[in-house]
Amino acid sequence: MPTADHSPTPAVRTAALERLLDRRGVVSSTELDDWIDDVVSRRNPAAGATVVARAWTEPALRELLLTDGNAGLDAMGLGWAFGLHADRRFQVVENTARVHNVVVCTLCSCYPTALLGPPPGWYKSDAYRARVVLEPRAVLREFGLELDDDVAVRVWDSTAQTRYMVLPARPAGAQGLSVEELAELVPRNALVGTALARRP
Amino acid sequence: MTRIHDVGGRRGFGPVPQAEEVEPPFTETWHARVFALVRVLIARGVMSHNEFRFAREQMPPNTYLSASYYERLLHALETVLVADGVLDAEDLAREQGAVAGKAQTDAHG
Repeated sequence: MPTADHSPTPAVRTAALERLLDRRGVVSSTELDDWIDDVVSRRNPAAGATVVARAWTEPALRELLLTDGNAGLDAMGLGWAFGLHADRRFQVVENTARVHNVVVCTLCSCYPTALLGPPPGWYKSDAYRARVVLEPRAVLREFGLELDDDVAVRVWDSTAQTRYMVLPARPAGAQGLSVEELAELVPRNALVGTALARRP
Repeated sequence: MTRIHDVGGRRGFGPVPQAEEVEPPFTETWHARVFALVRVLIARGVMSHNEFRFAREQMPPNTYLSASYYERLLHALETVLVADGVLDAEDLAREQGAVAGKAQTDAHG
């Protein structure tokens, strides 16, 4: 499609970078393919939902996750095996009847990608990053989440060193379900704080 | 002194753009390639996470605000790789021309 601006498109610029880096032996296209395949197949919200389901059913694991998130993930065989930053801290913040947690990265898009995969578009948007620290209840309302006045909202601003995941409250009527069935009740947005776990 | 990327608490932004509850991790091929390039180059030690973040934060306000998330990553990536001497700016421009020319040829059969 002809445009007035003839500068190369982002797709062209990206392809050019990749081809040059491959040709120079800096990084091969195959390495990039493998990385993308790994992210798409293994790093996704289902992993986070499983962490939640097991925290709901195993008190000792829940306690470990809340006091030392990295150790909790290691105990589940889900450590920061991505190898990018072994010193990165994973912190789990628990919703209760009185406290609702929501996560953001106001400076860029820090997110527990090694566990959950890439963050959703809305999390990376300037509007979310600017407004959720300023008026969290209004932002949550946009997501269809209305909190009672007596529930405190805690907003956690992620950093290069610390990534957060919300442990949503176990919904009523969820007794006697298997870990797999419980995990099905946890949408990705509940792990970030813009939704609650679903009722069965 | 803070810069434009530090948007926490700033007023004037409208509603949060909503999306499908379940969306693919990458909606464009080049998004996945850029993201992978950033992560792999940092993991391989070709660039540091800090200098990459710094390059993003140095973007002029107008460029930053009008760029999409992945465009911001791409801009910072080009900046760091050229500044560090990993790639030459002229080689990069020439490669962009080659890629664009090939795309045109492919499109016209």
